[in-house]
Amino acid sequence: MNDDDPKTQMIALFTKIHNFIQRVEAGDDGEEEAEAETVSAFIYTPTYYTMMSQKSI
Amino acid sequence: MQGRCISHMEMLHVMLKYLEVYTNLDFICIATMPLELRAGIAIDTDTSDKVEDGAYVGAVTASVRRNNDLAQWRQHTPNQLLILNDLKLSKMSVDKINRFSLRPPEFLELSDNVGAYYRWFYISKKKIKSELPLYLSASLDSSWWVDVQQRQLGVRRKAFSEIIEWCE
Repeated sequence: MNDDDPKTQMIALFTKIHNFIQRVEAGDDGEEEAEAETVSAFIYTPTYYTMMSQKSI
Repeated sequence: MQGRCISHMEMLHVMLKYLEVYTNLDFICIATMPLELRAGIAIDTDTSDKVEDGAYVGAVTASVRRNNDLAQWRQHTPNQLLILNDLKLSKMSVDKINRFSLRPPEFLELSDNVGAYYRWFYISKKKIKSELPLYLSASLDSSWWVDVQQRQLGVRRKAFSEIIEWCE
């Protein structure tokens, strides 16, 4: 798959965010503050997990 | 003629002494019927007597994306702008399918699954207004996800495992 492909770029971004979260959860203090700020703009943490109603789709 | 005040199922529930169950799940209903059959709420848009600045006719996000030199694949499609223009003239609230059609262009190639979109992403209720040019940048890593209606999207924290699984 081409690196310039939009889907590839978005998957790379999701992977990057996910890796960052895992590092933070593992207690890695090495994360940069700027990166934390950037990544936090992409994440929404509700108090509960949203599920789709299977009947409605 | 009047319906039952208490449903049959509720009566049985009490009589059979079933345990009460509370859920903390948030169920999202998505009507996938044709547009004319989807329920909506009448809203007061005041579009008829509103004077628009000629420079901003159309979608604000489209202008910002163009002005900030975002890549072509991150520009709104003509169909998205057409849907938005139609909704602007409508007196009905925007339904889930139309909102899905107006998703950020970054997500257009990613998935066509409506259920996954609402399951994985949260759409803020508040519109981003004057500060929009600051948040939409050419760098994909630092640019926010903003849909045609100027609402920010965020990934649900617990949806990440599913997204990564889907990516693989």
